[in-house]
Amino acid sequence: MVKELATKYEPQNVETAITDRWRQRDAFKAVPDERDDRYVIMMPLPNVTGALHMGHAMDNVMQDLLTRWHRMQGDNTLWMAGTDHAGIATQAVVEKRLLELEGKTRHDLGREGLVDRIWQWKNQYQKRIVSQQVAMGCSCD
Amino acid sequence: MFKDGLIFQGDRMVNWDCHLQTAVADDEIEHKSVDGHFWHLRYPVIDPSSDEPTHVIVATTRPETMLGDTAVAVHPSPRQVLEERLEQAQERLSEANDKTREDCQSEVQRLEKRIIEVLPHLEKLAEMAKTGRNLLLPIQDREIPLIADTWAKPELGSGCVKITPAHDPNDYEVWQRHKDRVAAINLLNPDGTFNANAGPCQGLDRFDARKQVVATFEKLGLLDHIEDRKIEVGHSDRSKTPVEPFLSLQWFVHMADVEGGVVCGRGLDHEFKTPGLAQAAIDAATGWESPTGKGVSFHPDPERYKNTYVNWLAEKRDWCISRQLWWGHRIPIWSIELDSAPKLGEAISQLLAAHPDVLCARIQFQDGSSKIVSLESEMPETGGRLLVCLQDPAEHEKIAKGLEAIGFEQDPDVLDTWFSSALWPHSTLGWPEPSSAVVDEGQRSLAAQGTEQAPLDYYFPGSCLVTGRDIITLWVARMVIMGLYNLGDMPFTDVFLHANILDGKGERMSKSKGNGIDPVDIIERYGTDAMRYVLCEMQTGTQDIRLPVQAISPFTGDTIDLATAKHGQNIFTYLCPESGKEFDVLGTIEGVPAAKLVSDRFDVGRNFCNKLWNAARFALLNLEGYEFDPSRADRLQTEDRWILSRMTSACEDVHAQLSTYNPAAAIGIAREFFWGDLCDWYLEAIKPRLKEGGDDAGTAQQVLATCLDQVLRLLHPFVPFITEELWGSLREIAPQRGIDSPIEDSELLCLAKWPNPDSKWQDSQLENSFHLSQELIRTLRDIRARHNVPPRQPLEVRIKTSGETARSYLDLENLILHLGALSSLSVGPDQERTIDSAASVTVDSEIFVPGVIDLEKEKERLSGQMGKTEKRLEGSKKKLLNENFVNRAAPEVVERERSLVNDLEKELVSIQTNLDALNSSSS
Repeated sequence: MVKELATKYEPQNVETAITDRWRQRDAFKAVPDERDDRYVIMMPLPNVTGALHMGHAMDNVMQDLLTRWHRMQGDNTLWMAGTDHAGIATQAVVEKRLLELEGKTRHDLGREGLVDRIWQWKNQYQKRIVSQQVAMGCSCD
Repeated sequence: MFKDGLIFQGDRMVNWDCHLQTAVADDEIEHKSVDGHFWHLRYPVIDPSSDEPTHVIVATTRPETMLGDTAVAVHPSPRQVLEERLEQAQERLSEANDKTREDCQSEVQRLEKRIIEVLPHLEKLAEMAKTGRNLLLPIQDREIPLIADTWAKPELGSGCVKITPAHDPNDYEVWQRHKDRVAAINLLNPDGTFNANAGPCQGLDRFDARKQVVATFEKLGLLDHIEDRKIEVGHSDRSKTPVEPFLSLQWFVHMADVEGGVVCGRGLDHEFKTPGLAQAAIDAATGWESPTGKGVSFHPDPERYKNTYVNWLAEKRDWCISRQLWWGHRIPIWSIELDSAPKLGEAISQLLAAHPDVLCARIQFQDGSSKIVSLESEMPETGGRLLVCLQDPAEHEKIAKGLEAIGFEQDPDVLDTWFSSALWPHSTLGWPEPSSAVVDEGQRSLAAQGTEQAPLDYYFPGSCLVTGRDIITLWVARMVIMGLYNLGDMPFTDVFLHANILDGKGERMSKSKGNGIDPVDIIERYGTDAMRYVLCEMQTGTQDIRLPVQAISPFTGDTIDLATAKHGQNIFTYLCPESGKEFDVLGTIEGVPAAKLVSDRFDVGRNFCNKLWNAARFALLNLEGYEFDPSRADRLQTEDRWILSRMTSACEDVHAQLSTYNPAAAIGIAREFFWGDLCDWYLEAIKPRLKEGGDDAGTAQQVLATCLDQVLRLLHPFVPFITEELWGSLREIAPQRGIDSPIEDSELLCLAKWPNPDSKWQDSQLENSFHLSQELIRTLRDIRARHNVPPRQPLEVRIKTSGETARSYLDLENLILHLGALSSLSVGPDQERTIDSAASVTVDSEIFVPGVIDLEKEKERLSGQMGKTEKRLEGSKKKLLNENFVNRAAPEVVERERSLVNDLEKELVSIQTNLDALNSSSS
């Protein structure tokens, strides 16, 4: 007797299990090989100016759609993911928070001090963005 | 680029963000219409003769910039311009319609008046300008020239215009034309305060300086008048503060054509030469192919966005790449004044001996010209600034320290983020040196490994870029340029521009506006596949998508439509209608509970997933005991061949729609096949066979398993999670799928082969016949509903038709009997309607269902209908007899009433005919 499907669809349970299954099998690994047909999408860099919104979701879902479609066609598929440090926008956000929360300007911190702060910010948001992308089902290497 | 002379430093008019203290690109400026003023200022003429004006009047929206004025311009031939304008205005008047006539008339009058009243004055000034007369700039007490330039507009205002080359892009152009008599004076400090050039306003903020300048003019009696006006003010997209045109020293990439051309992909197999960088990117979209045969095209609307891209590039404007920020890639250029550094040659030689080939140098002379120098052989001694660019960033630190030790300073600016981003498609693959490229912990090195090619060689050029249309110029064009220049090839061949998402009111979503929906909230509430389904379904073209936004009340859990909810203490808080309590949509207001934002547009996606799950589950239950047998290919029934034909078409069509970047159409086809064809029709059709059991049941199961296999593959790229889960169950219950041979299996659906069914299954004739039968079944369902006949009560059906159509019905007789729950089906040219038949007519047949009409009830119904119709007819007729109505109502209303009477009379005749027929049959 074959295991019956649950009577009701519970997306959370299914999505967690499937994400694990894909990851365990290294399903989205991209390595150069002998295949001539290859499909490469460079993920546009979401700014690390905050969390992702629906516009990013549209961006990511469209890319994942094309990537999965080509992977199934047998292409050697690379979807190169990444996040942007978006120079000016990131510095603007961090400077704004600095002013609002601590009442300081960049000149109070100095060049190195500010750059340190931005790295901290970047690492924090990069983590969040990557976890959002995984949740959306992004099949990137 | 530095070595090729494509990167240079120059004084340029930039858009200065005084708040962030950096230059911003033209594309990053948002023009806002604000209430402003035109200040009309009087500048005295120096030593006017008796027939000359004593003052000229200039108008400005930024009076404080007058402190940096270096000229006033008048048009060299004002009569010619005014007469031309008058002629044009008269021409427009002669072509004007009722709406525009008045405006055209007053424009003609205005110009005529101006020729009489203002022109002599302007002609005088033009003459004075040509003889080199000067004006006295108030406050600064500086003599400035009156010049003749076509930038002045004789038809507007005073006809004179003040020239501030350092703070206005148009005045900057005027300056370029009159450098012999006109200077440029910069008033601003980078932070928006005024510098020493501003005289008495030194140290003031730009807005305070404005007040002081206006007050002084008033005191001096030189403020002619102030005019209120709506004006366009450029605001920085980043800091939201007004930008100031500002002359500053910046780095640029030379975009225009270069004498001798530019070499792209230097040293690579497909090195080629282009007239200039912008031209190379234009060519790439307009038919030229790279040496590897690639160009770039835009989708889903190829022409529209190609034009955006090409038109912008065609301006070939130099690209300002320096930003006065601390965060970003710092510009790798060190410089030193030669005159301040004796014996530099010796120090540099020592440095070079330790690190050959990593430096590139250029001398920038005082007159602004520059030349590349070889540090080894022609080390200059004096006469300019020596700029040294480091070629290999990996060697950065050691050499940089060496340079700094001998007196060089690194440029303090960083590169424009789009300059860095333009390198993304190849730098992420390890360019310029894969073996030393930095990778994150746990990632593979980007160098070639064993027999494998390096990722940069294998994966570049790429395939597709997916993005929004707003960064076609900022990013797409620049990536093309950098790909071509650095590697001699396109970074991608297709650009897919998806729609932008707006809120219910048509505004762009943004967290800071309180209308931004976090995808994670949608995923939690609806599931990822539901979200993906809706996004795919909305992606139909380039039109923006509106997504109504609702909040989930933190008090009741209900969804609240933000378009109608009442605000709380500010625009980011709302009142929960149920509880009356206040919540916050930004999540930043202390003491006010935050609400998550969602959109009910995603309900559709949740419904889709639930239905997919339930339908697939039901289909899987019907596969119990299934075993694969390729010999069944010879024993397929009509409905089996039909669904295989539909499946083949669906696979082809989904593929075609994805190929033209139309996800909405693609998912529509897959969904229609799954529900419309497979679940609604095929599963219904095979029920008796499954009940019966035996080999025929096995055949139906085999076809069903094959269709499920293919449709899960088709749906996977859109809704990957649910399909992967269902795939697991399908593989368990039906390990082998296929008709005459097993389809290649895969443990994971995401790695399974995209469906490509054999076209031999396609049978358009059978699809047409089946379509006719489906229409028939639908008609019969309507008739059952209309006459209250229970769904499974057997019906007798007669169809009056002949030829091809008759054959189609007869071929599918068994299927029709089953699906329509019929007791009998007769088809032929001489089938007749009985008086108690319900009937329906199609293009080439008449369908009769005898026995479903209750004659007595029908008589009653028709009599009732007759009574009602008679009453309405009477009312309408009465209306038309009323003279008041006929004379006063709008003609079209009266006409409508007349035609209503006509229709009602016809209806009465038809009801009467039906009643007569019923009476004669029952009598």
